[in-house]
Amino acid sequence: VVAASAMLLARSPALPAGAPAGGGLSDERLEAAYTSGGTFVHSTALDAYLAEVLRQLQSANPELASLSLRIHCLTDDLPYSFVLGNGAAYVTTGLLARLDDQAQLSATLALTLAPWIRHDRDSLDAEGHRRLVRNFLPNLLLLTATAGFGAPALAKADAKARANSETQAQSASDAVAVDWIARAGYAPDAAALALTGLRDALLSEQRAGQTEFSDPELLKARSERLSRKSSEPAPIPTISTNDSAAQFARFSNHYALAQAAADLAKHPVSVLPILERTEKRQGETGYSAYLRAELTRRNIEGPPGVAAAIAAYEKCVTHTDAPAAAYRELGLLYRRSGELERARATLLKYLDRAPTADDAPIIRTYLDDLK
Amino acid sequence: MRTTSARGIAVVAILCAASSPVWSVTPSPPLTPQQLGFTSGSREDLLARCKKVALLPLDRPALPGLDPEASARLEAATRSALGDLGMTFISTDSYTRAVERFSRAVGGVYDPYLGTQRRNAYQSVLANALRDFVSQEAPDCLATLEVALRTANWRGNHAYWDFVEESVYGEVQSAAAAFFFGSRNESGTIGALSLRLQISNPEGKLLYSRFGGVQLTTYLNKHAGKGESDFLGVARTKWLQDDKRLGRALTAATVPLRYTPEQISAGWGKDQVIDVTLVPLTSLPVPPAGGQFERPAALQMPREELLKSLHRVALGPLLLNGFTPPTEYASHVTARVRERLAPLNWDIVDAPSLNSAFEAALKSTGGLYDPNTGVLDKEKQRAVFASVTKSLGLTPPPDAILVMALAHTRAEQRSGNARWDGTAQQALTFGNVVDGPHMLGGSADNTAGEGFVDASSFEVILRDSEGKVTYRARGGIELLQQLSIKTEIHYPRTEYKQQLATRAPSELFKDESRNAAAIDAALRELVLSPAEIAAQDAAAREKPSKH
Repeated sequence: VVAASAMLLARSPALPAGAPAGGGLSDERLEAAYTSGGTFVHSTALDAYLAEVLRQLQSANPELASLSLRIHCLTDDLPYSFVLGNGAAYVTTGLLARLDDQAQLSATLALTLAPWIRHDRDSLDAEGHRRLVRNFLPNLLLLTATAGFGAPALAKADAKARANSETQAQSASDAVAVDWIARAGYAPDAAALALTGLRDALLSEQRAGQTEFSDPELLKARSERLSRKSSEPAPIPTISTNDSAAQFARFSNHYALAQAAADLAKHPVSVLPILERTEKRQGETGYSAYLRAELTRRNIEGPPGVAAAIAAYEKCVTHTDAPAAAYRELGLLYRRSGELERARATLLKYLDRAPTADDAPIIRTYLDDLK
Repeated sequence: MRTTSARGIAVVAILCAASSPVWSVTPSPPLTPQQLGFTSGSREDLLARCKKVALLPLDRPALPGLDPEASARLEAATRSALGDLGMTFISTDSYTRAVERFSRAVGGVYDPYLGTQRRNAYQSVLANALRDFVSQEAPDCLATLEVALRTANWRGNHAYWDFVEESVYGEVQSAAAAFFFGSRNESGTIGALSLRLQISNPEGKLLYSRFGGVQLTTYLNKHAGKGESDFLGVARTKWLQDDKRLGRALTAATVPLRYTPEQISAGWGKDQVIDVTLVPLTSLPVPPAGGQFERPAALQMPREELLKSLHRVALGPLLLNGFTPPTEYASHVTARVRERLAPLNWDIVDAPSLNSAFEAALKSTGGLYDPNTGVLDKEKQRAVFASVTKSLGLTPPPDAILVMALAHTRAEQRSGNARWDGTAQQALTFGNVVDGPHMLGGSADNTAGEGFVDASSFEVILRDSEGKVTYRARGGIELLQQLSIKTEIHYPRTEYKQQLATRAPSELFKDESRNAAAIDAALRELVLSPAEIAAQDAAAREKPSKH
């Protein structure tokens, strides 16, 4: 046991030291891997928008101003934000889709950057190592005396101590983040609101992850701590122009609707909450009406269901930006309900809009039958 | 992929394993409808609704290379499992006919140039066939099966995935053997096969979806020798052959349909009809044997015969396949290939227009593959090659065409030492591979565990004038990703996690010796006789192992 424990100590990692900006080759390679990976969002407009949000946060806070930071977006169903040691920061489409406004996005970035600036991970690792060394002899004696059966209790105690340290470190970093948000001109409660909003959205979608921005339990505990911090009267926000609000809404709605479209087949319970959230913000669009009609069609139960689905698609095609597929589905529903003339006219509209679609030859066979 | 725990705690771990939940892997019982697989509505809703069910036919084969008959056996097992729940099945013949009709309407669902499925076209064919089928037959629900490649987590001697458990060695170890010989103090991931049962309403709204594990597709090789893989692969023809395992997979996939959440919670860890990890492996047939992953033979006909039949060979330009090597790389490759082939006394003629001529010939024939079946049309292939050979304008015409290409591949790494296509490279440092651990001057780093790293290779394909492949081989160039190991202490264990980062294109193809060795490896079996290869291998074994 002594030899084994000695090896454990010998194999402890060298603790990193120095500023976070000193990211090594590994971070550069990791950044290259994200950039060339399949989840990287290649959107110049989104990159420019995210960079501007980050710039506003940096310019208001001297601690951030001198750092070489850059930010990009990765595709992921769940909300997530992180920063590599070399200053490459990332948010996910799942995060953008579930935040309410730019203030919340900025707050989430601040919550991500603060522990990085403060070296929380390094400090926690160092503390863990100190705890290991401090408890080494007593633990060794206990393990030897109990022939190893004391190990579960030791592991439990260590996990508890580690969790306490992590909570303390996170609270301290969150306080820094709240200050940054206020200095950047946003309401300090934006951080708490962001986390509460993320939790509510995830719960309504019956979805959960295990990370700091996707686990409803972690979000609840952290937002409650943040609410206590930002309970003082909020200053009037100085950054909330119509432009930035519209820009944020454009990206957020886009990724939210993309999520709803993907969920139609694999996770249908989330579709309605997502549509309600986005339509509350931007009103009904051709695409959101199409997704709602698709959901209605998939819920058809007998003739009343068909009529409801027809009504949903008819409403959708009143929008000038309705997707071509809405005409196809509406035409096929007319055909199903025996309205053959309307079916023919609507399917022709589909072919007008999507003459080279993969299923165009099939639709033409339907039209032949309708002659 | 394998993660190695600190060897130092092995003693403590073995002492504690009996009493501690820390090292045991017990699936916790899922209780919410979502966790149980009910994506919309409840179990009661589904069972009340789905009386007359259409089980949509699986592709035959379900995955490329699988036994086509296995699809029918899977469907039969599914009918049996769902039939026990009181569901009856309606014929899907009209669906099959509709799929054929619509496939013809879209001009076939296979790409005539590549032979691959046109995914969007295929999906629209299936969607419309389903629409017709549902309007004619009016099923209550649709059931679909999918055979899926999965990743199993393993720890010690056992792998767990999709509610089942198997031995990582592909053999059944008795409890006594496990006690006396112990368990590996390691963990990782390994390839596995599962099936997924999905039930939806006739409009395609998903009601239920759940996986059930069938078998491992890879085993750990406990007798791995020097230079051998630590993994053994199970041939695809041996997948889905075990009806008992198919039955177990369907049991796992249908547990929430057969039992209430409360019954599942109460029976988890106690009752093997609810928790199928309790099914003793000794009650199942012995899993199919695994074998070493073997490279396909380079020579497609006897070497002597090939060499006798060839006198004049057209050499096309290097196909880059998305790589961006330095500008002079292609000319260096051509020069090296010519030099290596010189002993064969072939008349090698440069054919700079080979690739464009091939493209034009393909276009004029409309592709080599049947768009309805995806099968290669050999007559068309012959015609295309005859046309290409003619269009090169070489007199006399060449007997064969040699195509050179850069290829993306994956290298298996063990302790950081990556080996693929006749070469090796250290994945942590990009240095040479030297057998043996660090402290003895080797390059192996046990913290790196095992896994795969993206790599590049140089490939040559020799085709006769009718397009038939007579020689095809690869030589490994270099790794395209760097492996790094992140150390995490989870007291009292230390875990080493693998991270992979992609190399920038500007770093690649700069090592002259690696570039040359790749070409030599790719042409080796063409240029050297079997006796010369044996002598070369023997000489390499006598030298200190260094690549």
